[in-house]
Amino acid sequence: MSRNLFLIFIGAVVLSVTAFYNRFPLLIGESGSYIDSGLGQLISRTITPVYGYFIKHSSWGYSLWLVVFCQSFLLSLLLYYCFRYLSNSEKKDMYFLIFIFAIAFLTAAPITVSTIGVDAFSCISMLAIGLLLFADRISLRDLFIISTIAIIGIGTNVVNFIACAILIIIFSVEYFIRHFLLTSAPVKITGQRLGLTIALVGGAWLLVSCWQYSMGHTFYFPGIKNMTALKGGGKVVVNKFSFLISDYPKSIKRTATFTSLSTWFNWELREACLSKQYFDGLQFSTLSYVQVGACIVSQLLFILLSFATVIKKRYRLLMYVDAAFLILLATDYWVNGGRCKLAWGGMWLLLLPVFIAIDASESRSTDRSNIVL
Amino acid sequence: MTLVDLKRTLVHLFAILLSTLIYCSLTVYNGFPFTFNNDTAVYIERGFSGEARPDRPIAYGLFIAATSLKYSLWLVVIFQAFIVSWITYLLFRYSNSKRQANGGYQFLFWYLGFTMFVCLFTGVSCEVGMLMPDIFTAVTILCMALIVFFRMSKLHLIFVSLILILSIIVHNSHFFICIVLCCFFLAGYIFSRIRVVYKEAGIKLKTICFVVALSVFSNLVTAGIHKHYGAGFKSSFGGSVFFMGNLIEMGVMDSYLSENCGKKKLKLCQYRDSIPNDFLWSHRSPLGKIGGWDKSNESEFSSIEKDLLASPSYLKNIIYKSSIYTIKQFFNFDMVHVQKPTKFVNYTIRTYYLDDYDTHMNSLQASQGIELGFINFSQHLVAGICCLFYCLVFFYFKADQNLLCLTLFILMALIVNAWFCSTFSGVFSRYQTRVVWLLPIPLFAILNSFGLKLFVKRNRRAVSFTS
Repeated sequence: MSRNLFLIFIGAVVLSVTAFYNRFPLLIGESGSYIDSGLGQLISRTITPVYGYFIKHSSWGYSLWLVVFCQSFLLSLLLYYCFRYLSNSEKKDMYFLIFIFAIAFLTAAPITVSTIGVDAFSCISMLAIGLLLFADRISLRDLFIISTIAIIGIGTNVVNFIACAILIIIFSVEYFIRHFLLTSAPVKITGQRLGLTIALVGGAWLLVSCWQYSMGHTFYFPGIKNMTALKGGGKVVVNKFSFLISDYPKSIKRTATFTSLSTWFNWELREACLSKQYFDGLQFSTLSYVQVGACIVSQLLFILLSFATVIKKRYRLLMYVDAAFLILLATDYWVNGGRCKLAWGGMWLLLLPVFIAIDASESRSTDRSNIVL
Repeated sequence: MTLVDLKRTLVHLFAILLSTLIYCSLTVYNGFPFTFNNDTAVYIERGFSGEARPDRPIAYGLFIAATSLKYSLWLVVIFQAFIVSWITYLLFRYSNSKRQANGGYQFLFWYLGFTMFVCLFTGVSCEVGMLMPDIFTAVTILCMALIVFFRMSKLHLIFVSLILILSIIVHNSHFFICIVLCCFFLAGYIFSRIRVVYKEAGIKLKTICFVVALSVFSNLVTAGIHKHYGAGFKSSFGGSVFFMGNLIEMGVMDSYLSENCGKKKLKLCQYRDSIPNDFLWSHRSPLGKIGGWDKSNESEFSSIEKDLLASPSYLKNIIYKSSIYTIKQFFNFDMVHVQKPTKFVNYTIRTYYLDDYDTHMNSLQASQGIELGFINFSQHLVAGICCLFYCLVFFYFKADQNLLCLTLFILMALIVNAWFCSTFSGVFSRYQTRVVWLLPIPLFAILNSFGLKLFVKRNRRAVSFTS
């Protein structure tokens, strides 16, 4: 177990690479609001208190680096669970490591995780829901951990809540059709798991709404009333999606984020002023194209490998990941209008099925004594 | 010497010279050796004037003056490239010594392949071609590896030892990096399991002690040089000023000053609300107003630092920041320091190397600027692939102990370099760019050690990488 923990820890460090490269966690315009809501206990109509409290407790009121590390640790842990429970091969740990390094250096995953913002939890909540629906023989301990992470992930952002709710509805309908109407077809998702997932999504909604109500606001999920879709922007315009990683501007100085930083993490202010983002801003133009290329290649690879029997069983994983990504995109657009970051922030999810499929297709056991360097 | 031996020697020499040329490729592309900030100018000036100051040792300036023959700066770069070529040649030759005594030819393929690989995909060619002592950090590490891990011939040992001494005296950090690495080696002898690993890997206590002795001797040489040039018998000075600059950036000094300014008479107190991050070099910094790098400031800063390290709450913060800074430095190795030469650099080259001046002003760095975006991106990929490969080697494959220890040593060296530079100076890409190109060495050494066995059709056994 200590070896597994060490691997997850390495994964967490590698996924934080962008924060280390920037010399400070990446900050966006909303970072200040989240910090204030957590440490200042300020309630907002547009953001949930969950992420603010995550910042408060993971940072220990001491350092924003701990927040980034916690985010990357949670993601690394869920990815480890994906390989552990969705693949049967002996080399799943090895493929887990390879996958971590691949997304760390070829995609925007470390950028999302290294940012003080809720976007990291969008992918985290999708992974958690996917594990709860599809993973076989999860231990009770891991089930508890994944469920807790799912609730936290869903509760951080209205986008996550709506996306998870849509996913659950889709799989509930599928379950209903397979179980009650097509009785000869094998049922892929168990009723128990579906019920648990519905309970978790509902529980997250209830938790956040009660929290808001206890702090003096009305009983609703923050952000729902401010959705762009409800203000007449319901149409999804494809050309508004940008799959290129947006720049991180250097204009965080003289902003609310900077003020929050000086209020709550004053001793890290100097370090923030030494970051690359503060000096020159950050641009990831090359990485944008590499990420798009990697995702297209992974999808094509999966299709090419589809002739293998083992791969055919992983089709549902590919379908889930693709559906989750598209639903996240659409939801983010409906909620936030043109400010859709998950197009590039969540694209790395598309690489997951092919790695698990390749790992699972390692059917022959290899005698390790022959591989001696 | 027989005809065969002569032929082999000539082929090896040709390979080293070819490698030297490959290391100089980016310099040739630029049209002149690279310069950095005002530092290059300071080294050149002090090498000629013989002025030893507290901010850096004079040895590299003397090295420039000597190797350039006071004629051309190209000779400095060629000499640096030759040292790097020769040291890496020895590394590949001795890592393959079990297969081919006295050399042979097979390892030359991996040696030249490694040279081309790192020159194409990392910034080593720029580091070699830069008029800065940065390349000698990697040379220090490679010399240590050669002495500790391999049994060289006496002649090679003598030359490698001399190069190690030269590498240590040109920059303040090299001695400390060397000593810390030796301490890690020596600490391993406490554990019986690690002693067994050392025995299998061929690491001996006497070689580690020999490296320690060489480091201490180098320190004495530096002190002797400084005494000769009128700066007193001291190997490095100004260390407490550097550390103070970093403590300010860490944010530790702000809380210390707000707590202690009422209790103690400290020179920085009157400026505590206006201390900039760039404490050492900014024109707004109070360092100049309170006396600069003089001895009274050094002793006051030393006393503050001792106070901080003795206090548990401050020590905790420093250790935490040091850990974060180390990881930050480890992942920061962009080539951002290749910018247009400063006026001081242009002036110094015109003063001391007039014949080189026009070539310098027509170089890409001085005229249009040089774009290194591809090297930065590829360097990150190479680092990522190497780190992944070594993780897989440690966790999933059995490895020859000697190569495994070499891999671990290279990784440790990079971490120690990151720790020392980030904790006592600051997080600057330059400090890690100078050593990150060492990462592929174990990979190529492993490929070199099993040779071309995979392609030999006679051997039909399962894939084996035994040396």
